[in-house]
Amino acid sequence: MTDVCLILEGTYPYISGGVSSWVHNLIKALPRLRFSILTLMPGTPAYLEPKYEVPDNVVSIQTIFIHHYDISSHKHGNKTQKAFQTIEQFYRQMAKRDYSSFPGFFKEVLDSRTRLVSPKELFYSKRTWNLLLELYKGMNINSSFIDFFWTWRFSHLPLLTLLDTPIPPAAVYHTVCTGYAGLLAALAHFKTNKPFFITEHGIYTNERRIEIEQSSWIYDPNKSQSVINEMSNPFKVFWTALFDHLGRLTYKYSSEIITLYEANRKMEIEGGAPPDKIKIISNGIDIKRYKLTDREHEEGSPGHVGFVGRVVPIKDVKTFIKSCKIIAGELPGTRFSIAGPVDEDPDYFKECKSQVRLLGLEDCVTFTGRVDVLELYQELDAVVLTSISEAQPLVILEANCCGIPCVATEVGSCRELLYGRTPEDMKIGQSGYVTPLSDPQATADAVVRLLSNSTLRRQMGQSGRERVKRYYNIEDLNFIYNAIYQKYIAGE
Amino acid sequence: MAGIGFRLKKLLDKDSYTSSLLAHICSAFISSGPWIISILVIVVMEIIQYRQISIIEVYTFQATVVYCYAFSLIIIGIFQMPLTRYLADMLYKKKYDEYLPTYAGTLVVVGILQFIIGISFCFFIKGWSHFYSLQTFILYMAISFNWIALIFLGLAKNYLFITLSFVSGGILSFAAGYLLGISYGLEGNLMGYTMGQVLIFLMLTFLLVKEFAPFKKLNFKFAKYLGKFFPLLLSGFFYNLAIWIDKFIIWSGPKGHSLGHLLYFSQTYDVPIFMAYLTMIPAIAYFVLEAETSFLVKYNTYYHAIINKHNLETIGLLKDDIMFNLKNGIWSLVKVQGFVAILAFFAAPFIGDLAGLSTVQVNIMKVAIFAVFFHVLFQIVSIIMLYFEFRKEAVLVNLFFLLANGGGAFLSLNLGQWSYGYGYLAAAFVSFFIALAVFAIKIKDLNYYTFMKQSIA
Repeated sequence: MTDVCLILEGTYPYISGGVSSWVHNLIKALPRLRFSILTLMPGTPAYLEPKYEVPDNVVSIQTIFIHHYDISSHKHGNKTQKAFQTIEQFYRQMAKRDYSSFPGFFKEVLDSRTRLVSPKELFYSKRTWNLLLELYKGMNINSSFIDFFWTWRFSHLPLLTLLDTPIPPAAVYHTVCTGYAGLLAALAHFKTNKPFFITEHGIYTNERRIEIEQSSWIYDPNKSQSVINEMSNPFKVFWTALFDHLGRLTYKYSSEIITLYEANRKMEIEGGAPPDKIKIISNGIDIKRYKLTDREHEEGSPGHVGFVGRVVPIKDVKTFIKSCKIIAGELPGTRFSIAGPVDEDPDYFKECKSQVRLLGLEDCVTFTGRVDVLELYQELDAVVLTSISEAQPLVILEANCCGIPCVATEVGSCRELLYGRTPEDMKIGQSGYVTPLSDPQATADAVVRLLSNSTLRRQMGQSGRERVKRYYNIEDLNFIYNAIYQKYIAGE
Repeated sequence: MAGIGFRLKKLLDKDSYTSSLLAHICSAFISSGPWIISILVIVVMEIIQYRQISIIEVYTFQATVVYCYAFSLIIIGIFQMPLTRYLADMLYKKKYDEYLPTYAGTLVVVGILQFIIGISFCFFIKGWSHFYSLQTFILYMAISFNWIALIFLGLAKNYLFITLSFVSGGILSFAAGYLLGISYGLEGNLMGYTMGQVLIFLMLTFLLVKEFAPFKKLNFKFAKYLGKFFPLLLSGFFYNLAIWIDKFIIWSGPKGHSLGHLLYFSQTYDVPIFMAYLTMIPAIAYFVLEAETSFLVKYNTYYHAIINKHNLETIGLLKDDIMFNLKNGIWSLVKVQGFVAILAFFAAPFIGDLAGLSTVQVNIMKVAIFAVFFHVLFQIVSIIMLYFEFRKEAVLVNLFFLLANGGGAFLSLNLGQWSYGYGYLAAAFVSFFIALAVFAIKIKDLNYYTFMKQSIA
């Protein structure tokens, strides 16, 4: 019996990234709690190299490969017909986004201890086939039946595989996304009668939808037509609907929903999350590590602007470079450092470099590669972020914590990081500027405003540091999560 | 980003979409064609044998040959369908170089099995000379091997050469049997007959080696299919046992002759039944032809429509087309075989005269002609069932045919000689309609079976 069972999907400890680091830090920060981990990975069983040194308070890590189909033929009694009535009822209600019959569905169809029908029967039976035909006609697909059939199979196989996953006993189940992991958390909740809750960094349903829209492996019956409506592809609709349902189901049965910032909260509500369950707990940084910059900058002397991030298209480095051109025109002598790994997308890096050359910025723009940001921050006057997508960018927290104002595009939580979220937060004051996406002129204007006014810069820097200290301290985050876990462990 | 990037693997199970049709057509050809030729030879030989040897010796000869056919067929029946399935898969995967090694592997396995059975049987019979026992043993092995060779060649669709081999072998059997019989009597007859069968084996093997060289090493992988396709094994076994069970039972009755230890024969029953079997030829030939032309085309259209992403409506129409085609095909078979049966029925007295049959025998033949009519239809329907992978049902109808034919023969024994053949007729009649009904019910859900029954590899 562990205190907390983390249910993860495609992340910790095998894939590095924001969510994985967050999980790792949380576990490390709460050494007195015992964790078990259920981690879902794509593909079929294979050896995976952990990317993190797993802390000692992790008691077990169980890896489930969701494309390793192992469908059980285990069931109880022979009231199969009754189970199918329940299935039909559940699916019809689900189409109306009503998941209230899930507990009964769980008991009669899903739970290996009580189910009246085996996953195998479910997968191969004639009644399932008839349901499928009904669905095919209902969706008015009128196209490739084989794609419809395999879409159904591939979408449901991982679900059936999850049904018989052994659940480690724990006082509370904590998942960091909806989707398959969310479903597994819900299953764990119904199996053990222990609560589960969810912390969502990015909004899973949304990310999946974008991925599905852009995917090329899903057959598109309209490909030959010249006008393609967004989401006119029935198979993409099918996949999107699947994840949408999983999300709604997870939201419905989780005891609370935690997300990082306001925009996510809105998206979750759109995705079916009950507003009263949602709580915002922001990411935090270790403020001890980020010292206030002591750079005393004289009026009129050239400034130093930093771009901290990987050189990849999603960060839209090119917009930053274009704004450099404008800034350099107004404030000659300004230096620009693009700090971050350049090896992830070599082609994009090459394009960025040639853009720098074309704009004649070789003398003032430097690609530093991977650097120690703690040192870099001490030399910067402003930090710019031009990303087209972000959640809660750590770079703003870090820069602000060092007392450096930021200019950031209006994505993710940038607005609330720079302007404040709650009225109380807003009182602290602005710690930078928010600009529209891919708008070099707006970015440049904001930077010029900052660079040409040291009082403003100092003021904003102080506000930033104050805000981070008050609202984005990792110690607070660890404290809050500890409190949440303790609440469940105490059985409240 | 949290979450799993998922991807669709196109797991269309090739095997279940294609291959096996050939295997099943071929099994129809194999399970009927050549042994009909062999029966023909026995029947013709009987006419000349009366001039060379005593009646008891004629019976002994016939019983010996019939035993060789019966037991080799029953034993091979176990291997036949799983083996054909294996070969069809291999041909589909274009693994031609495994063909000959598998042939050799099969000969070894079946050879050992048949060696044990053959040796224990041939040297059990009291009153046989060692020479006769040896002849019988060789004949038994040759016939067993011929079935194997036939399975391998049938899939290669070399029907012409197969027919040529069997006709040559038949002629040699007859001619050598006759010539050697002049000097050596019964033993000469058997030796000549055996020579013909050995010739068939040599010719078939020659063709196999020629078409599928080179040979690397023995291959026993087909053995896996015995377990994997256990229902095929069972239906093959039941079917071949069903064909012989009525004879076994009749032999134990008043019209059965004991020709020494373990050797039985019924002149009254066996000869007219064998002659009636000959009327299967047109139906089988028609089926093989029809299946390969019209049916196969419909079938491919159906599967291609599925694979080429057509909608359910189109697939449904093509499914209806297959059903319509099948219905027509079976109806045409009924007409063809019906015509043959009626013709044979009226010709029976003349044929009987020619073959020197008694009135009782002619009457049995008349009944058997209609029994064969249903029998061949039953066989074809059960082959089609296997093709559509209604395996459980195929096993059951074949088991039913076995029990019905056995039960019918058993009833005949008790009812008396007038009823001989009626048991077979009733069994074939009922089995055919049951098989047809079962198939008609199952085929309605062809789409379901095609999609849902695919394994997820």
